[in-house]
Amino acid sequence: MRQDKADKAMLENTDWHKAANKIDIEGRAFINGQYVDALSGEKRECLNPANGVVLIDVAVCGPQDADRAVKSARTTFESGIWSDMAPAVRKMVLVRWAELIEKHADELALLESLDVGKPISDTLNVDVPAAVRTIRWSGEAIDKVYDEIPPTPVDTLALVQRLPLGVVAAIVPWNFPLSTTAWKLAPSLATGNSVILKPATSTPLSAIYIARLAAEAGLPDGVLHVLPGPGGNLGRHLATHMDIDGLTFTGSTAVGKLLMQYSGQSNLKRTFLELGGKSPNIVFADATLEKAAAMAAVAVFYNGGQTCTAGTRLIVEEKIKDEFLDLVVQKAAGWMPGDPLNPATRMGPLIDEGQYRTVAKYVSIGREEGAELCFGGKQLLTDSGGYYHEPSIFSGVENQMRIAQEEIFGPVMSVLSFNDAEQAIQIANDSIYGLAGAVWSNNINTAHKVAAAIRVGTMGINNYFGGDITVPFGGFKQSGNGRDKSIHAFHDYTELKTTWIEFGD
Amino acid sequence: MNLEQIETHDFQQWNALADQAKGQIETRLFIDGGYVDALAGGRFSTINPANGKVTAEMSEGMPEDIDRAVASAKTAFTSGRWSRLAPRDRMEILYRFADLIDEHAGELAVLDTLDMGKPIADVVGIDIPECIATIRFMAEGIDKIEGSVTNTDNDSMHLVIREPLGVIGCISPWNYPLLMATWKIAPALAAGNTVVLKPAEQSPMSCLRLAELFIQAGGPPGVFNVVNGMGETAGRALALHHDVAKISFTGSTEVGKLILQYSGQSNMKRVGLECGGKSPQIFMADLPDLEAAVDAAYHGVFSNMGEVCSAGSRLLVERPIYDEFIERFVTEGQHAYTPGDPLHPETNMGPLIDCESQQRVLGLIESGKREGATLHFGGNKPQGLEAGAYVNPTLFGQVDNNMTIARQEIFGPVASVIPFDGAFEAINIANDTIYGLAAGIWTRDINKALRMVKDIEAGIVWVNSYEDGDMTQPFGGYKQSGQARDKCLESLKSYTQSKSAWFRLEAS
Repeated sequence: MRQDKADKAMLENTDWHKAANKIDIEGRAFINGQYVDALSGEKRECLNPANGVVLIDVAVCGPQDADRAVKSARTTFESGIWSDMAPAVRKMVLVRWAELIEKHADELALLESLDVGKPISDTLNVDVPAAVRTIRWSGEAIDKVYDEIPPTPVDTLALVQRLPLGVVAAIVPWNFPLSTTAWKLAPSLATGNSVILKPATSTPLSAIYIARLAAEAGLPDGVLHVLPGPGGNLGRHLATHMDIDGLTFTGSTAVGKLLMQYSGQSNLKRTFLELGGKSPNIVFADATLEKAAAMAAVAVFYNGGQTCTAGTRLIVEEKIKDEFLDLVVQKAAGWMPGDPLNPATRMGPLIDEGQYRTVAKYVSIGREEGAELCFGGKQLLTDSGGYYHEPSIFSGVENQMRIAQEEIFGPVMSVLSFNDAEQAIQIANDSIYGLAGAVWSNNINTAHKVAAAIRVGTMGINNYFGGDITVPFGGFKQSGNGRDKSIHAFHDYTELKTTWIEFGD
Repeated sequence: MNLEQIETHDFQQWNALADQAKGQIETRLFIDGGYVDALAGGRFSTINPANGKVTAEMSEGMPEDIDRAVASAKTAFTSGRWSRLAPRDRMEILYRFADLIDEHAGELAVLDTLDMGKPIADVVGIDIPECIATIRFMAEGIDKIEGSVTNTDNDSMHLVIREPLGVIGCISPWNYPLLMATWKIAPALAAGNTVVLKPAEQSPMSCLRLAELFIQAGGPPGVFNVVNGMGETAGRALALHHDVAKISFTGSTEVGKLILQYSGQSNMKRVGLECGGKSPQIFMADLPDLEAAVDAAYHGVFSNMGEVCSAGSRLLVERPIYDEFIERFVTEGQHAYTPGDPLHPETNMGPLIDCESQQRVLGLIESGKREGATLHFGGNKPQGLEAGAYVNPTLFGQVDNNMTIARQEIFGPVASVIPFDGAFEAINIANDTIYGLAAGIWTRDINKALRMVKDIEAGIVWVNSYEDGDMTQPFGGYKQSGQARDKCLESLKSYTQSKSAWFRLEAS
C-alpha cells in the first residue's frame, strides 16, 4: 500500500476524539438524489468497533426500497441522462466528485475510522486518497478508451463497441468500505451505468457520505442509490432481481457462490466476485531479509489481518527459517493494537465480537493441529468495549492444516517452510484460493520464474501490497472472477456489441 | 483575469486590457527556467495587423540561442527531474499549468489578438478553452498508455517498454498561436520529454508567458524553453540540431519538406508534420438539410479569416442543388462575417496576418477573376479599415478544379464553389490535389456516406457537419498535408519510443 503524502502535521496535531464528538453523521439511505428513511421506517444501531458505542441509527432498507431504487435506476439509464452524456462531460463529473471527496478528506477519514475501527493514520494516508485517486482516474479514462474497428473486407464496416450493462448492483464489505465502494462505483458510473450500492450492514457510513458529494459534483438524480441493509434480505433481493443487469460483489467465498446461484435462478445477471484468499508470501534465502520481514508483518497485521489479500501463509526457505522467524517476531511486536484515533496506532480492533470469536477459534485450532504459537494469541483491551487481538504467529505449520487452508480474517500468521523453488510453488498453489502472493528473492531467475508459476491475480516481487490504480486486482480459482481497478474494471460493467454494416453503391 | 471573468468583457475593457498588456510585454527568450536576452542582442518587430503598428521589439533568437535552449532541455531530460517523475506527479503539474492558463486568460487572449488579429471572442471562446482541454487530456493520458508484455515460452520474458524521446523541438504557426503550440507541448511534456518551442515570428508574444506559467505550476527549469526568432535561422537550427530527438511542426507544406531534409542532414530526428490543405466539402443533392450545409460551408472557410489549415476552401456542389446553394450562400454568408476591430467582442473577422498575406490573397482573387470564375461577393478590401491587412469575405462560383484558386492554398476568406455530377466525379475532384487534410461529406444516404468516407483521401472527414470533434479525434493529414496526428491518445504515443527487453530465464 503506497503511503500517500497526506498532511503529517494535521494527522498528529488534530484532536481526533474531540472531532469525533462533533462530527455530524448521516445514516439514511440515498435514493433519487435525496437522503431518505427506509420505507419500513426500520433502523439499526451502527456501532464503533473501538468501544462498542452507538454512532448513529442507520436505515435498514429492504426489498421495497430496492425495487424503488431499481425503478429509478432503470428510468435514468434508459433516458440517457447519464449514459448518453458526452464522455468528456461525464469525465468532469467524476473528476469533480474526486475533488470534493479530497476537500472533505479529514472528515471522511474520521468517519471511516469510527465506523470500521481502522487507524486514523490509515484512513487519512491510504483509504481516502486511494478512493480519490480511483474515482478520478476512472473519470479521466472515460475519453481515453477507444473501441475497435477490425479490418473487414471492402464494402463492409464493423464497429466493436463496449456498452454499459444498464442497472448495476454493487455489494461491498466491511473491511475496506470506502475503498471497495470507490472500486465499484468509479468504473460502473464511468461507463454510463446506473448503480445501486449496498454497503455492508455494519459499515455503511462512508458510502452514504460520498453519495451526497456525487450529487454535488453533478451526477444526475437517480443514477446512484445507496441502500444500507442486511445481506440476507436486501442483498438476496438485489441478487435475484429480474431488472438488474450486473452484480459486483466483494466479500466471502461462501456468499459469492450463493450469488452465482441467484444469477442462474433469476435473469443471468453478469456476476463479478472478489472473494477470499490465503495468500502465500514466499521468502528465499537470497532475499533482502530485513525488508522482507518488515513487509511479512505488514502483510498479515495491516488492517488487523481483515484483508482479502493478507499474506497469511509465510513460506520461508528452510535454511533461513529460524533466523527469519526471529526477525518477523521482532517486527510483530510493533503491531500491538490500540485506539484507532491515536495517530501512532498501527492496528485497531477487530470489526466485532463475531470476528473475534472466529479468530480465537482458529488460534485454538492451530494449537490443536500441532503448530507452535510463537507470538501472541490473546485478546487485549478487554475493558474497552471493543475486540482487540494481539498479532499472532504460528510456526511449524503444514500446508494441510486448517490454519493454512482456511481464511481466518484476523491477525494470525502461519509460517511454513520449503526446500526448493519447486516445493515453494507447489505449497503456494495448493489452496482453493488464488488472490495474491509474493516472492522475495534477489536472483532474477528465481524471482521471475516463481512469480510466473503462482496462480494468483496479483503477484508481488520484492514487495507486498504493491500496486496502483493502473493495475487490475482480482482472483484466480475460488478467490473470484472479474477485476477491480485499471481499465480492465471497465470491462466488468460493459458488454461488447458488434455492428456489422454492409454498404453498396 | 480568468476565463469566466473575461467572457463578459466589453470593448472598453478589452482595450484597457490590451493597453495594460502592451505596457508590460515580455520580449526576451525563456531558457532554463528564466528570461534571458538573445546572445547577439538582435531584435525583431511584431506588428499588429489591425493597424500596422509595432506592438513590441522582441529578442531575436539565433542558432547559438537554440544551442543554449537545447542544452538546457537535454540536461533537464537526462537529469530525470521531469522524465522520471511519477506519472501522476507530472499530471498534477500539468493540471496546475492548465489552471494557471485559465487564471491568466485575459492577458493571454489580448496577446494573441494583438499579434495576429484574430477576434478576441474567438480566443476567449475557442483557443484558450481548447488549450486548457488539451493540456488536461494529455495529462490524464499519462497513466493511461501502456507498454506491453507478450506471451513467450517458459524460459523467456518479453517486455516492450514505452519511454519518452528526449528533447522535442516544436515549431508552431501564427494562426492559433497559443493553441497550436499547446497541441505540441502538451503531449510532448506529458510523455516525459523536454521541449524547446520556436513560435512563429509573426506571433511571438503569448507562448513566452506559457513557459513562465509552467514554472509557476511547479514545472522544473529547463523542461520547457521558448526561443523566438526567424524560421530560416532559429527554426532551421532547431531542425538541424543533433540533440533534438523529434521536430513537431505545423506550418506550410514548403517548410515541412525542408524540415524533412534537415532531419536527413542531421541526426535522423523524427519529424511530425501538420501542413497545408485545400479541403473539399462535397454537397450531394440528397443532403439532409441545405440550411445547415450552407452554414457549415461559409463558417468552414470564413472563420478565423480562412487562416485555418483545415479550411473547407473548395465547395463541391452537385448540379441539381447548385443554384439554390449559391443563392443561399450569398444571402446567409455574405454578411455572416464582417471585418472589424478584433478587440471588439462582437467582431467575428479580423485582419489577415500581415500586408504581405493581404496582397497575396488579393492577387489570388485577381487570378480567379482572370481565369473565369464568377465573383458573387467580396473580392476586395473593406472600406474604412485601410490601416489593417483586411480582405472581405469572398465567394467565387463556377470554379474549375484546375484554376489557381482551386489548386493553391489561399489561407484567406475565399470560397470556391465547384459544380459536379455524381459521387464518382465528386471524389475524383476532391482527391485531385496534393493535399489531404480534411473533407466534409453531405448526404443522407448511408451507402454514399460510407463509400465516400472510405474513398476520400483525407485524414479528417466530417459527415453532415464541419470542424466538429473532441479530444479523442486524431487531427492530421494524408499526402502533402503531413502525417502527424494531434489531439487524441495516439498523439501522446507519438512522443514516445518503445524498447524491447527480452530476458532469458534459467531454472534456479
